Amino acid sequence: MMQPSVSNQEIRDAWKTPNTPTVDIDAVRRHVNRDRLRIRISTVTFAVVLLGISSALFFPTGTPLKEVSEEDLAWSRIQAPQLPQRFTLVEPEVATANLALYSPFSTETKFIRNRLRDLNTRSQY
Amino acid sequence: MQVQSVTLSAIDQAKAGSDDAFEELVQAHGDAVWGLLVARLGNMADAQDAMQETWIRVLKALPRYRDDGRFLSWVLRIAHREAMRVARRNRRRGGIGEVLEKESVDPRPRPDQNLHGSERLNQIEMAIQQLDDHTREAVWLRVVQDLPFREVARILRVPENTAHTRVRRGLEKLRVSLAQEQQT
Repeated sequence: MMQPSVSNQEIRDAWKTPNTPTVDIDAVRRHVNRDRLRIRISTVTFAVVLLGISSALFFPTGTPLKEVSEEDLAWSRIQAPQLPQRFTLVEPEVATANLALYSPFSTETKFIRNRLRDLNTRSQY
Repeated sequence: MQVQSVTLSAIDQAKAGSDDAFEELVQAHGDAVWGLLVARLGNMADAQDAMQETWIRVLKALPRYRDDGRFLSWVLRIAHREAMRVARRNRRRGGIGEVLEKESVDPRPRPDQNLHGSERLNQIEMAIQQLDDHTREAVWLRVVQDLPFREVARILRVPENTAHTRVRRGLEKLRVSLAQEQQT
C-alpha cells in the first residue's frame, strides 16, 4: 500500500496546543523561598546538633583531674621535649581550659588531651 | 512554535533574584514548556500541574545553571523530568491521568484554511493523538520545536540513536494512520 507522505509543515500546522496557562510567578517565588528557608533551618539544626555531639565527645565534663606533681612535669618534658613549653608545663586545670581555645582536631588539643590522660593514668600507680 | 530569544542578562538577573527577569524567562519559554508537557502528558489537568511545578524547579535550579547557550534545552529537560514524574504518579494511582478528558480541539477550519486542508489537518491531528506519549514528545521536539536530534536526545535523556528511532517511528505511524484514514 502506498502511504501518503506528511510534511513537517503539515504536522506543525496540525499540532494544536491549547493556550498556554498563566504561570503564577508570585506563587512560584513563594514556594521556592519557603523551600530555601526550610533547607536553611535544617542546615542550622544539623550544625547545632553536630556541634553538641562533638562538644560532648571532645570536651567531656566532670572528669576528675589529678594534681600535677613535679615528677609528672619532669616526665612530660622528657616525653615531649620538642613541643613548646607552654603545653608541657601546664597544670591540668589550665590544660583543660586550653582545650576550649583550640580546634577539637588540632595538634594542640590532641597533645593536651593525651597529657591529661597520661597524668590520670600515672597517678593510679 | 517560535521560541523567543532571551537575553543573557535576563538569565543572569534571574539568577541574582530579579522577579522581572524570571518573568521574562517564563514569558519567553512558557509556550515551549507547555507544548512539551501537553505533548507528553496528553491532558490539560496534569499539564497544568506540571507547568507550575516545572517553573518552581527551574527557579530552584537556576543558580546552578551554567550558561552554555542552551537555556531552552535546559528548561525543557526539567519540564521533561517533571512530566515523567507526573506520569509515574498517575501510573501508581491507577492511570487516573489517562482517563482525564483530553483537551478538546476546535474542529472548525481556521480562517486561513480551506475545507479540504482543514480535513487533512484534522486527520493528521487525530493521528498525532494516537501516538504513544514517548513518541509524541519526541516528534514534538524534533518537528514542531525544530530542535536538532542531539538536543532532543539531551532533553529526553536518551542516546541520540534512540531519539532518531522514536521520531522515525512516530512519523511512520502518522503515515500509516493517514493511509488507513484515507481508505475508510
